[in-house]
Amino acid sequence: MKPLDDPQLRSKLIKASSDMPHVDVWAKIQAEAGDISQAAQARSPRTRFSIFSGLQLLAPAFIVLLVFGATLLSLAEEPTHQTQRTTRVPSVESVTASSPTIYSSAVAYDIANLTYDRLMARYADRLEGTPPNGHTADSDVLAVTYAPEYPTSPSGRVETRDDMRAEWREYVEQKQPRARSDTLHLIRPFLSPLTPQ
Amino acid sequence: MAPHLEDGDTVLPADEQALIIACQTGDMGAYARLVHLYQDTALRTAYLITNDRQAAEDIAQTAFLNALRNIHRFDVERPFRPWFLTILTNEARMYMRSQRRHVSEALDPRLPEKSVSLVNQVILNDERSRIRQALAQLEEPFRTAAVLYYFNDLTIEEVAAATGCRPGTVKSRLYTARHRLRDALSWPPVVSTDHPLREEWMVLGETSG
Repeated sequence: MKPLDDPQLRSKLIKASSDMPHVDVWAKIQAEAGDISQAAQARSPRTRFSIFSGLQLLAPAFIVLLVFGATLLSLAEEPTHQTQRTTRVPSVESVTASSPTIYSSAVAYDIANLTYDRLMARYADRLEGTPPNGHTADSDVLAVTYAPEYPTSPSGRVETRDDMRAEWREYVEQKQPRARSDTLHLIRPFLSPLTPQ
Repeated sequence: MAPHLEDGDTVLPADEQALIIACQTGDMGAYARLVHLYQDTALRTAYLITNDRQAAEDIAQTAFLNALRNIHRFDVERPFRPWFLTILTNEARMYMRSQRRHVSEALDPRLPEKSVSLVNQVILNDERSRIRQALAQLEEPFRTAAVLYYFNDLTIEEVAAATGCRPGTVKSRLYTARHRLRDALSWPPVVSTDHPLREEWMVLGETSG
C-alpha cells in the first residue's frame, strides 16, 4: 500500500476538480454586479456627507427653525405705539401696598405693554378675589396723575381722568376684540369712578 | 488605476491591493478583473465541496456578488483570497444544508453509484471519479477543511476563520480527513490475493498518479 502524503493529496484534489468546465462568471453576474455597485456608491460615506447632500438634509431643519422662530416672534409682546420705557417698571408683585398710585401705574404699564394672554395670566388671581398686594379692586384704578412714571394714554395726549379711562378702555378692547368681555372684566376696576385718594 | 492583468496571471499582492481599492471606489472594470482571477478557484473549490457542477457555478456566482456587496468593508491590508474563500465556503455549506444530501450520495451522473463495485471503477480508470467519491464519503466539515487546506493552500488559521471554528478543531478535522482519504485513495486497493483482477489493478496502480 502506498500511503499518500500531503503533496499527493493536494495533487489528487487538483486532479479531481480538473474536469470542472471553465465558466465566464463575470458575464453571468455583470448586470447584477452593476446594480450592487450603484447602490453601494449611493450609500457611500462620501456621497452621504457631501456638501450638497448635507444641505439637502439640513434644509428641512432650517425651514422648521424659521417657522418656529416666526411663531415665537408672533407670540412675543406686541409693540405699543407708546414710547418704550427705559426704566424698569416694577411688577405687580413687587409693588408694596403702601402706594396705590405706584401700583396703579404698574398696572397701567402692563395694560399698555403686555399681550392679552400675559395680562390675563398676571392678573387672573385678581379676578377671583383679593389682589395679592392686598388692595381692593376699587383701589386698583388708573391713577390719572401726572407723575412722570405713569404711562400716558394710548394716544399720548394728556387727558382728563374720564377721557383717559375711556381711551384705555377702547385701547384694551382693540387689543383683544374677541375677548372683550374678559378684558372689560379685567379692567373694570380701572374704569370705575376714581376713588378719592 | 487598476493594473492590467490577464487571466491566469499570478497576481502580486500590490496589484491585487490596487484592484481592490479600485473596486471600492466603484470601478466595475477592476472587479471584473478580480472575478476573472478567482473564478477558476471558486468554481473548482465549490465543485469539490458539493460534487455538483451546476451547484458549483451557482455558488461561485453568489459568492462573487456577496463579495462585491461587502468589498467596501474589506481591509486592503489583508489578503483577498482567504476572505473570498470564506464567503464561498459559507455559500457552499448553506447549499449543502439546504439540499440535505447524504454525503455518500453520488450527485454527478458521471460518478459511479455507491453500489457499483470497485472493479468497475478500476476498469473505467476514472481516478477523478474515485477521488470525488472519496471526498463525498467525508462529512461536510471534514471535506470543506480538506479542500480549503490541500486544494487552496490556506493556513490552519485561515481555514478556521473560513469555517468558523477554532484552529484546534481544524487540525482535528484535517487529521480525520487525511487518514480517510488516504485509505480511500491509496493504491492498490485492499483486495484478496486470489482476486481475478488483482494483476490488472497492479498494472493500473503503477501507471496512475
